[in-house]
Amino acid sequence: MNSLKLGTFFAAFAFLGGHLQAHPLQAEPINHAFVYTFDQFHIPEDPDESLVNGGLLLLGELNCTTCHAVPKAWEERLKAKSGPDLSGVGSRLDPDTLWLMIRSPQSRKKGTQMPGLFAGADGDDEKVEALVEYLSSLKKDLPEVPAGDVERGKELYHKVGCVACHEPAKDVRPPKVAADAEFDKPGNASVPIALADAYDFTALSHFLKNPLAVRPSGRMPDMRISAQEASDIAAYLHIGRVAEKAAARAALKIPKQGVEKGRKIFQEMNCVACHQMGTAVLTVAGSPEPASSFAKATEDTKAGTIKRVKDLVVDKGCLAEKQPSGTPRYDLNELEKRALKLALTMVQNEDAPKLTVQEKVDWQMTRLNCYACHDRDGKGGPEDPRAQYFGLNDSGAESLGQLGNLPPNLDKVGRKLTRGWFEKVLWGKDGSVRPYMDTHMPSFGREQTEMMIAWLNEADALEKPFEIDVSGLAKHHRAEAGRQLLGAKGLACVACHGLKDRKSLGPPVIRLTHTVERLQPEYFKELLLNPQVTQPGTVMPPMFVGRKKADLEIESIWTYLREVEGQPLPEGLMSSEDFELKPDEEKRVIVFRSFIEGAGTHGIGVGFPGGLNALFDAKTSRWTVIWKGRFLDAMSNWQDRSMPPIKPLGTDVKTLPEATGERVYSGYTLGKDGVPTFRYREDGQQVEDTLRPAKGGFEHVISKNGKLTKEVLSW
Amino acid sequence: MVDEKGLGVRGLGGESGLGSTPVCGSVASVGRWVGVSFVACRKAVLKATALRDALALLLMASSAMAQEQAEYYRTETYELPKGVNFEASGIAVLPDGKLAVGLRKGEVWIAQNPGDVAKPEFKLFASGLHEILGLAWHDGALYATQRSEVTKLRDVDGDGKADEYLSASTGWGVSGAYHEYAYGPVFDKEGNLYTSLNSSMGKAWKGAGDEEKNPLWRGWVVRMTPEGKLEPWCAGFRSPCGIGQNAEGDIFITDQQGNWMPTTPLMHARKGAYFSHAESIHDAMRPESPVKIAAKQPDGITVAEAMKTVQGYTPPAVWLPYVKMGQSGTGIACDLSGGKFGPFEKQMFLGEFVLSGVNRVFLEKVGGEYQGACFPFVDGLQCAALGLNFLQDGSLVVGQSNRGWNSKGNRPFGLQRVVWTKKTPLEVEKMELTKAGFRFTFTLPVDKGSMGELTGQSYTYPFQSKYGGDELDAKPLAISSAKLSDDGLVLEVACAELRTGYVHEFELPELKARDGAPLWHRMAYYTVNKLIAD
Repeated sequence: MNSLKLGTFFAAFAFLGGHLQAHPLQAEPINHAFVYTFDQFHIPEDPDESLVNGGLLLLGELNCTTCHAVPKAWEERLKAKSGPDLSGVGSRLDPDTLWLMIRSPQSRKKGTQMPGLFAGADGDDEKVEALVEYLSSLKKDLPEVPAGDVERGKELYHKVGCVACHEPAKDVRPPKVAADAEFDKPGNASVPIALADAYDFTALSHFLKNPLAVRPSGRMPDMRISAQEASDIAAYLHIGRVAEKAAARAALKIPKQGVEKGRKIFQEMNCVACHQMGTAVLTVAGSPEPASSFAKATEDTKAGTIKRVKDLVVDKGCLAEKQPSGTPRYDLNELEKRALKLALTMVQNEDAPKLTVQEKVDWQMTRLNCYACHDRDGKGGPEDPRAQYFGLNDSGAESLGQLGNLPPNLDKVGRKLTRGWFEKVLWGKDGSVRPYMDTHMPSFGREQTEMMIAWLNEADALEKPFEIDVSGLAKHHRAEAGRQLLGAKGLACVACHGLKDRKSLGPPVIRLTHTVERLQPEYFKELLLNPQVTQPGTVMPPMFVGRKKADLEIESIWTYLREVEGQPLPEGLMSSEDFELKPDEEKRVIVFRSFIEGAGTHGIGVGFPGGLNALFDAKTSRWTVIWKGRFLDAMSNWQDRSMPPIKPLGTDVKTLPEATGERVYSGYTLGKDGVPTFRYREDGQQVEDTLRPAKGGFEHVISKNGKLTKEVLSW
Repeated sequence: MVDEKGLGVRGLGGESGLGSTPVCGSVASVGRWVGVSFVACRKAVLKATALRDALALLLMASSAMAQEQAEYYRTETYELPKGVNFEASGIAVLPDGKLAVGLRKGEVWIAQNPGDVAKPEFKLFASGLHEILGLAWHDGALYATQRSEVTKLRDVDGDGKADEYLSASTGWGVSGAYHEYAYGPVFDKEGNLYTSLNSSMGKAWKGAGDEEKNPLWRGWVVRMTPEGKLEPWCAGFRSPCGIGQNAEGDIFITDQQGNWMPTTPLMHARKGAYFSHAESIHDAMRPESPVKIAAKQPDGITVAEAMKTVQGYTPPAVWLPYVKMGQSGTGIACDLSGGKFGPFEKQMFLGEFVLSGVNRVFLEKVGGEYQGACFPFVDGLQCAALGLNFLQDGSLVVGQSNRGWNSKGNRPFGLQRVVWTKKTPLEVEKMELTKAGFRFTFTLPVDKGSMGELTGQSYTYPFQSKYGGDELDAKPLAISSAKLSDDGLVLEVACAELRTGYVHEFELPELKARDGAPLWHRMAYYTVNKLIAD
């Protein structure tokens, strides 16, 4: 049986036998090795000088350069990517699926980038069987995962950004499309999801939670979802699942080959060139570690078993019109073949062109497909039929339009974000500042993205950066000045921007909490001085146009945001209750000294649980005011720069008569119950003076030289 | 909105003098600082951008020194009670070694275990006070200075919380103007309690009653006698944020740049002395005033001239040149640790607000008066330094808050301590005036081979009502010889012209200790008020 026929047979079998009904995510089958950005950015009408870039992309993305060494000058540009890590693959896929995948990858997984290596030559059946045995032996215990919920999974799949690359389901309508309206299907082909249904559920959930562990290349990025969400999506991908049976495998009746044989074949056939194997996996029975993929490839190249790129004949092998048997089979389509031929010719004849840093960024964004979600300098961004699924979870953000649900434009991002924030966003944690957006910024892994930070910094640098003094030293660098500018009576930034745990007064745009950690100060100034030019399409108004002290004001705001921890919030965000002293809540008597209206600069307020309050003037040594209800606001003492006087917050404020004698204040003591007794000398005699809530108001107890008098203050 | 004019006056933190007010001239004459050279701008008043560059250099230099600093002095950050804005302004050490901290929000917390910054075990001791800006332990009680009173706090029933809040000192004027800070207290041997009072510098509050129009003793140091009498003591302060004592128990004050204060001074306070800020003059006319000065003082002369012509004027013992040594001096602590804090025993350490660090001062008596030199010490603290004090283990606790002002350390508040690593830095330990010039004594023997050229300049400051002030009448020092002693510990420098009323600024060569360690700080600033008599 020749491989082609076998392939066709398996294709039909897998499809009909495996799935009685196609999964709703099943896209139009793709019949060629699929590289998303190649298909997205290249069409048959492309002139050679453009298409050659697509060919270079394929050389890297299809891992051609893993085995076919390229001239040194090209190595960086055409760096191969890691294929799936096969450690633990035996816990993910059953032997029949492995068999189908190895025997004819293109049949089992339409559009796969894995080449078929078994054309049906003598001994192939045994080799495949041995490989299946070996790979099936690679087990890895996975921790249990939560049960998944199909409906939730379906919703998540569509709103968190999976559909940027994968197919939206036929039975899911984009959220804003009316029930009877038609809506467009994606124009670009989707990355096929062809193995998910064969995956073990636990393994699939783990894979979705942390795809980089299995696919370190980051082409399937880590969507930063929770374990529960991963299980939900896994459950959704598993609907209609039927256990796969490779009838042809059974029919061949190949005897057991032994794991050890499979392991050897795995090495001999250079599978390790693409597949990482984790650590301990390959050390079966004390056998030596296999050479690393690239070293192995180099050895083979030296040995002449694998040709270097410069020795390849461009229209032979997998690029031949009719591919000869015994060469790796990629199922390249005509456009891909043309592109690859152009690229190979270029690599053979020219030195690698020196890319500008801007081109380097573009190259890496193309390889990682950042363009699926992001627009940068006019390139990329999700096509509308996909974008319409991206979710928004806060109706307040509707007014932001596409800024509310679509990932941000990346123009100027290299001078916008700090290194620290890039790290959070690209591979770290807690980099998200748009909680209203359902779409997650995925992690592509540090290895794939770290180099981009410096490139972006350089690519986006201004020849003459905006000047901003963030030393903290200048006179106007007062957090308070910045706070007032942000506040409702200043520039009212709080109308749109929240801060810390407080929402804005209006639409929920990015909270300012992490501004200083996140933004480069020069960009902060550039943005504030001219928002529309800096971020075309932003809804931020140009607040600083015509303000003579814009420079200083922006620096003040920066200072406030830099020191925001422990600072009071800007007016508008701050609740008047933030610093209110509440005896009822604290269940204790509160004594509080400040500048207080009704008692002057030596005022001591006493608030009792139950809502009775009094003011003692430590200068004239007397109770001056009593009142009911709320007590005092401590904001002045606790947060203000200038210590403005405060006043009783409650009602029924009653002023008490002035004292008659000459009094000298000496302090107060607190009883076990926290009630203060004030002490002073009156006309030379020691007095103790206490107010205490009683029936009908306060009981006023005065002890003068040991002689007690009591009165009740009712009002 | 903030009234920018309001920045013309400042209090606790001190404005840095950059930006809107044209008071950056003090930098203009700086040729080198902290080991970094830059071309001095010849304009009398620098443009903000040039100053910014200069500051950038300063910051770069300081970050380069951070590692060196950690070799000698380690900064440790206290774990603080959750949810409390720990604006540590007053630091007191109890006889049992516990650490009491007064907060600006009006609370006193006591760390049961201050030697462990990760678990200091802070417990709330007192609350409800009105902006504590100083805390002291004296004779069995804690004393917290509030806006209008020093309050004696005691825990009589032994439950760990104060139940006695007695008035220990009060009676100065409080009009409600927001700069009316009160700092302290310190106690002398006789038990007098001293408080330094900020000038009002701001709008009074109608609710303040009689004191609205004429708050008493603002810009003064007052003392409460053991008999309970409040006495005015000395005057002429602007923002006397630091009040402390040297090893002999003499009282010193730091003030902050502004009107009548060209830069941060360290002043020896004593009865009847007057230190230049004019707001306190009218109270000096009161009969009970011990300060005897004229009702008007000249405006726009130099400090050197004022020393000769202004009746009653006492110059500071040390000037701390603006920016070079910080921008706003704060708390004072004297190292009485007996060597646990390194080689600077009995010297004074001054907090620095804007640059968020600590400076060091060496004093000697010349002609019966204190004068001496200041040196950079540690920087890079997390927030503006306010209150300083030494724990019993010899570490220096620095209370921090920058509410209301800017500071290089960008945390809004906190508590850190500076701990000697037991490694002695090569540093100028003492800088004494000699007949011929100056004698530098080093903490370690200096390698003779590392001797190089010594340079320096001297300058005075304006005595003026205008805010801040440039370095004036600057001249390079005429250094005729510099001889290192055989043991490498003493450098005798001969200087042709010594000028009274002038800061003598030195940049030492890149000296090395015998083990190759470089001189930690190369700048030294000696204020000559008196010369050594024949």
